[in-house]
Amino acid sequence: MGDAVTTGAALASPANFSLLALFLQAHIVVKCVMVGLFLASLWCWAIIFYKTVALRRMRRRMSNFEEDFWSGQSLEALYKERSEEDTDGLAAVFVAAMREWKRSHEGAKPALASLAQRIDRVMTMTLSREGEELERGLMVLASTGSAAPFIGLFGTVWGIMSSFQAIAGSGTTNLAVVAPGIAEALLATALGLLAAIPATIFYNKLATDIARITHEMEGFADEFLAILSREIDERL
Amino acid sequence: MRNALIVSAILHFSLLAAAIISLPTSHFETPTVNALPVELVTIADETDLTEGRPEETEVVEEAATETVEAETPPEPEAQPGATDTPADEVATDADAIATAAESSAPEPAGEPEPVEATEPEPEPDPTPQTEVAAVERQPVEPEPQPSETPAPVPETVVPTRKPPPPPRRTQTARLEQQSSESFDADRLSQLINRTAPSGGGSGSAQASLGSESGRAQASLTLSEMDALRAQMQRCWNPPIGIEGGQDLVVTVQIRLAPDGSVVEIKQIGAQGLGALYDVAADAARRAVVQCQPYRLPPAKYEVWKDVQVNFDPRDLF
Repeated sequence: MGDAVTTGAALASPANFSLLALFLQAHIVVKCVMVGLFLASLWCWAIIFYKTVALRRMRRRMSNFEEDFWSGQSLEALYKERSEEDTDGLAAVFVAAMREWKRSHEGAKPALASLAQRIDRVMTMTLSREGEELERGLMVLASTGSAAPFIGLFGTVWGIMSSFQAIAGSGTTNLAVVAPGIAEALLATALGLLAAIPATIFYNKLATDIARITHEMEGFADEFLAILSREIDERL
Repeated sequence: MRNALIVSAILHFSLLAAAIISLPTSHFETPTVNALPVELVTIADETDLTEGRPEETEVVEEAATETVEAETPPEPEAQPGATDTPADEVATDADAIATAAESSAPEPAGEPEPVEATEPEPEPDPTPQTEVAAVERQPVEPEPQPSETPAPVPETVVPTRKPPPPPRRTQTARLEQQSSESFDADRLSQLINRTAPSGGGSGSAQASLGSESGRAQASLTLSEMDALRAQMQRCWNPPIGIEGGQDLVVTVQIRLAPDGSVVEIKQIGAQGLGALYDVAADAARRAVVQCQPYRLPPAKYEVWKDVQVNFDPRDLF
């Protein structure tokens, strides 16, 4: 309320419409909204950059691994090579499956009876873990994309409320009384949209990419399981 | 993740800085405007207008030309005579009226000087009347005057008697004669009073561009006309059902008594005549007769004594 009065007083002087002035003139709630939206935008873009880079690297690794896998190289050698380094994506699935295979053959008598099912379980677990890892951060994008406009709108409503209070305080409906309050209020909506639009767009893009990668990994897992179970059935 | 966050922060802050720097910082001042005065005008004032008649457009122009004639002729022709005579004849009298009446005194003042310069050389042969006549024509061509005809020049100076004044400058000339004898403020005011109307144009005194009937009709304001029509239409049962009934516009001219009752129905006219004329006219007549007396402002009886009312079925819908 006090702010409304000061706003009204500030309006007697020529109004300043630079961004900084608008921000400084704003009510504390509107300021909080603006700062929050700015931070949300910051975080969103960080996620966008990170995810874009991460997905690109992931896809490159996957294609590398697939090349290695189908190159006719022995699976043992491939496993040895891959299990030493930090694996992700297809390699992780492969390593998990091979580890289970190895363990089943460690004993005096290989436990082959339900080996295919165990391998399937292990690979499914790995796949879901990888998928979770891929999708981490997307929630922030989705939330920002849907909630930021409302948060901005909240700031706008609050700003317009204070501008109405300025009208009531000064007793005139002069444009100079109304305009700054509305301008600062609209700035909040603008910030909300500024945060929400990239978040929504990139959420859609990243979600589509991740779904494609996950699908690829599932396909690989199925193929690999088919190979392994054939092997198991031959040994039985 | 940290790298991405750093990149994002850098981009955001640079963008913010660019926005703060580059976006125009507009200062605008709005002058404090107080409440606008709103004047409520009744319909009556607006509709109390005189109906014009296109064939009477001449009236205003006549008035204009009259005033022009009254004003302009004295100016050019009074100049030479007026300056000539006071300069020589009444010279000592500081003639305030003469100078006041003729605002263009400086012009002729320049002319007499060369005239006097040539004075001594030619011999003065007094033939006053003719010379004066010549002087009067001379102003049309002032420049050749000193060189060509030296003879008339002294004539203007010599005659002590006032030359027969040109008929057009009667006012100023008479005034000068009077003022030479005695200066009278009343006469001055008379002069002013007399000249003022000539310059004022026709004004309101002249009934221009309007007809009496038009004036009379308009004096009954729109709201009062509507009141009358509404009273009549209350009893009006127009023939709507018949074909083309909506186009039957009946105009009724009636004479009313001061108490609002109908004295006589003078005339009934209808547009879109035909077989339906009688029906429509009768409907209108019934309406007029049934609903009397009408309540109208008694002070304006002269105005609504003879009144014309249109019965238009289209008004009903």
